[in-house]
Amino acid sequence: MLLSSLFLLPAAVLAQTYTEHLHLSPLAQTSHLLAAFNFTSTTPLPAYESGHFTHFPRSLAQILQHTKTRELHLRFAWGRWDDEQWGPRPRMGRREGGTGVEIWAWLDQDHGGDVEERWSGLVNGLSGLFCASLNFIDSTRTTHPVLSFDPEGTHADGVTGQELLHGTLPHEVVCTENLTPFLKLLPCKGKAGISSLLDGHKVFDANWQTMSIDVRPICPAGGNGGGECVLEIQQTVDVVLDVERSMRARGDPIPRPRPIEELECDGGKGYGGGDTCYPKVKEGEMGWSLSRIFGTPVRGSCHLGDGHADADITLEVPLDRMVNVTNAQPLDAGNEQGIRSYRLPNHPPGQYTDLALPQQSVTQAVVQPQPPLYATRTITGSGQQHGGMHAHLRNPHPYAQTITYFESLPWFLRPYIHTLRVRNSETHENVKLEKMFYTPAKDRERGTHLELMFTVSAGGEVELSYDFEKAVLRYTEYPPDANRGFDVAPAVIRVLPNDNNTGDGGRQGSYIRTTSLLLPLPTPDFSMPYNVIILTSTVIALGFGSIFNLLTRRFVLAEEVPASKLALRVKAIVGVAQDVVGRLKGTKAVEMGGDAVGSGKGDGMGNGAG
Amino acid sequence: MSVLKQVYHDHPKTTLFTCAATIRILAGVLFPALPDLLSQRAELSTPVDGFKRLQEGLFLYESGLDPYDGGIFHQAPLLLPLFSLLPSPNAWLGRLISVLLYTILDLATADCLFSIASFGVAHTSGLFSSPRKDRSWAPISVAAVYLLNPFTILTCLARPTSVFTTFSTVLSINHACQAKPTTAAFALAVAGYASLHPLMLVPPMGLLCYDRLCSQTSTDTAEAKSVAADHGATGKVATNLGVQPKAIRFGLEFVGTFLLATVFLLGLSRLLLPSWKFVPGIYMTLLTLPDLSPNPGLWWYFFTEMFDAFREFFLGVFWLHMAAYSIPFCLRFKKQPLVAVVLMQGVICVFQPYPTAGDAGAWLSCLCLLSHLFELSSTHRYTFPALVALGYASLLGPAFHHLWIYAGSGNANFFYAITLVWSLALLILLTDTVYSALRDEWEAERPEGKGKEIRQI
Repeated sequence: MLLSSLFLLPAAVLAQTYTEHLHLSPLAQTSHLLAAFNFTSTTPLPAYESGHFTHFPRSLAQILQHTKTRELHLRFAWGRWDDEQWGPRPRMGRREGGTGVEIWAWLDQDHGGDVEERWSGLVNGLSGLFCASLNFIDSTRTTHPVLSFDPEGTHADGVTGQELLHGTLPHEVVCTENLTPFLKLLPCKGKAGISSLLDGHKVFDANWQTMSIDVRPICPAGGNGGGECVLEIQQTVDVVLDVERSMRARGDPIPRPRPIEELECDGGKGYGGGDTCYPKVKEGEMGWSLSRIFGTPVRGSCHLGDGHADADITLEVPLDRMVNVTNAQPLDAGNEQGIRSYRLPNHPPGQYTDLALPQQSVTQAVVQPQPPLYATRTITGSGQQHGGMHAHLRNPHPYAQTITYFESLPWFLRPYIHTLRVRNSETHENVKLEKMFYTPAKDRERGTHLELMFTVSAGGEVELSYDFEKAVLRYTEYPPDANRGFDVAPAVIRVLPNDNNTGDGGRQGSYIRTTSLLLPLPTPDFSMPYNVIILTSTVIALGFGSIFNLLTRRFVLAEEVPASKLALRVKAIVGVAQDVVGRLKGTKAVEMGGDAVGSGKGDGMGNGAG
Repeated sequence: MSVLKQVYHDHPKTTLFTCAATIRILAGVLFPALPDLLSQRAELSTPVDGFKRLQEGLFLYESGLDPYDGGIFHQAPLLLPLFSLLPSPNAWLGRLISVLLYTILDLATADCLFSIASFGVAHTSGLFSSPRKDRSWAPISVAAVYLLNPFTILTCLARPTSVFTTFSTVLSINHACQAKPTTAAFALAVAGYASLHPLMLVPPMGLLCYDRLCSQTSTDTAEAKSVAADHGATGKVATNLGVQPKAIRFGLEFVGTFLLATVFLLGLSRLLLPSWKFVPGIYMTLLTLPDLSPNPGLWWYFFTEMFDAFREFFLGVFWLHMAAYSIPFCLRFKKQPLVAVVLMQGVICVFQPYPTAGDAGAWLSCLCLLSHLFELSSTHRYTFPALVALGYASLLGPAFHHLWIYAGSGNANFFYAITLVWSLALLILLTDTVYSALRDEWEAERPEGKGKEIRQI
């Protein structure tokens, strides 16, 4: 795929450069369009260290310098990539994050101050910069992966003396407030060039979207004398848009049924009674244009006069598809891969550029390449006490692939690693684990870090499963929507490069992330703190009171107990009262005896009333 | 039938033990899924003694990791080498062998109870002899209550490691009854090392041991006296006071042995493990209650719902409260030391941070050692309502737990309410025993008070 080769373009040797690029490719057999934006700028390392920034965002640079961060990878993602229909992920999954926010960085170890402390400073700084809850990445959400991530930049002395920290925030909802600061980091601030297409309404209406920021140092090959080292910042936004939904009229964003006149009905159904509308099967490829999908055409260009003449937009559609171009200069009418490239006009600045593809039936079938691996992960079991994790990996290729499997679990999910089984789902034979790293969780201190390395045989399927227990938290530790459940970060699967898939894979290999999971935990009754404290204390006090009452007093016979003065007085009063009552009764009895007729009358009346 | 009767009559203990072992092993063989099912029940296994957690600790230990550097395993380190000798309990053979091990433990505990009951320490001590001593049960009945108790049988199948604590505690009582302070202190140290709270048994256990030692020496002296009398000698015979061991010295020795044994056990554990992390791993878990998994006790829901600012305060209060019974029991029951031990066991069984139904089963069996008091508690107190409430709670507890955790049709309060009833029932039994022990002692002094109404002043 073109994207992967673009990704590996040799680092710009020019010191201060800025390039931007949009790649558009409809995803085969679906009405989805993948739009991949890439903004790359570089600055020489000495300039960066002395605080001269031309294209490199100063706000980000200051955070990085303060926390001694050598290499930073930050991801915001939302939605699910549909492997079955959309094929392999863009940029081999390397610019993609798990649902929510994911961050990993290499920090210097030997510059004074605790690494954990500087990591906390980094996530807090980025939290403010990107309006995201990154500050919630505390020690329980931070892990130290060993196998899954390699530095992308060139580090003179390798990564010795640097520490890799990885944090996830699967609960974070990525939205417009994260996109706006993201665009602010760009030299043209989203006002001109392809970044003017990025509008929160469209980006976050996508089926799948991921934003990434990668900062890495790059030194030219050939040792120190070869040239100047530069620091590169690469910002990408990848979105998969539903073409039909995106082109819905902007004036009517509320989904409502279309008026009957606008429906395209298939009248050819013999069984239709004339009063029903059977949707017409669309023929050929759907027509679309940039301005209709993104709501606006490309505004001007963001060429910063550094002498580049690279393509700004590339389009990957079959060669016989017609493309109407407004205001852009075609660089390549289509190479053998079917990729056309365009460059935005430099002048005048206020011009609008648009690409439009009319509806057309295309004969050339597009073959969707297979993704490196299919992976799903689910939680099994019922109830809120025990559960199990189950991951299913399928290798569609006719060669074996070695993968690493990385999980970072929250502490309240307590895995039983002795129940971990990795086995071939057909033969039920155990798959040999080549490497395994496991750091058990500690309550409220750190999460679980599990990393495995094993080989999935050619065309093989592997099942990975283990049991876990769900913890009961303190009632203040639950979020307001406690019964929704807790998010568990996606597993990160790295397919290591081998002889068959290196091609353009480099030493990184490709990455796949499963979807995040929802973990229901047992919940206490949140209205009960006072009641529970009172009831439990009552039971305890009952035990304590009656036991110590028995222990501290001695027994005597009931008749030996000297009567207290108060009791005597009460007794006397009661005696007097009884006397009085007795006397009254006596007189009453006499009276009643004398008035027997009247009472008999009363009885009779009562009976009559009854 | 008559043959069976004859066999039972001739060898009651063998018959009982065979029956109990058969029940346990048959349950393990006939229902192979039962042990694993029970070992995950909240009522039978807790975070500090669960069998599945033991397996996890074992896995970490065998893979060379520190099992205490995590939030799952909080059990005694010396269990690890023991269980690593057994085959993995995931296969049927390993499961059966683990059930067998726990069956042997149960039989050993029952044997200890049998021997304690046959000493008659409960009703006759050095300073006191109960007027109801002829009402106490036969030792075989006490052993039978332990072995055929449904709580004990289920616990044996669920295999929590608290069974080891129970066994060492009962073993310690047995040795104390035989006036063997060293072994009694050692066994108690094993129990205290495995789970912290048997520490509170040190004063009553020391008292029991001292009492037995005194009565033994006085018997010896009496024998010596009689021997001297036989010989017609009129020479001075050592007075009781001179022969009797000094209380303070004995106390220091007992506590010293206990501490030495604890240090020895901790040191041995350190040799097995890469670090000292097991000390906070085991004991801080009990002290600070980080894991709030539901159990039949009073702590978990209380600290789930506790305000953060008061958490430490109430943890301190709960522990102090539990420890507050130990010395008063010793002072008040210095004439009946076994009663003090059994009552303290009861306090631990109700108020410990992670209790199980198995602890209650073991305590109820120990309570049968005081069977001569049952007449008093059943006529004057609320034993029947308490036993009914216990049965009610043990039937409804699993049902309400299911409603909360699985069915979702009840909330946590259902199970919490049942744990309150359960604790209350045990507390009433405990209070009744305190009453009847005190009254028994009082009636020994005032035989005319028997059966009459009494007051407390």
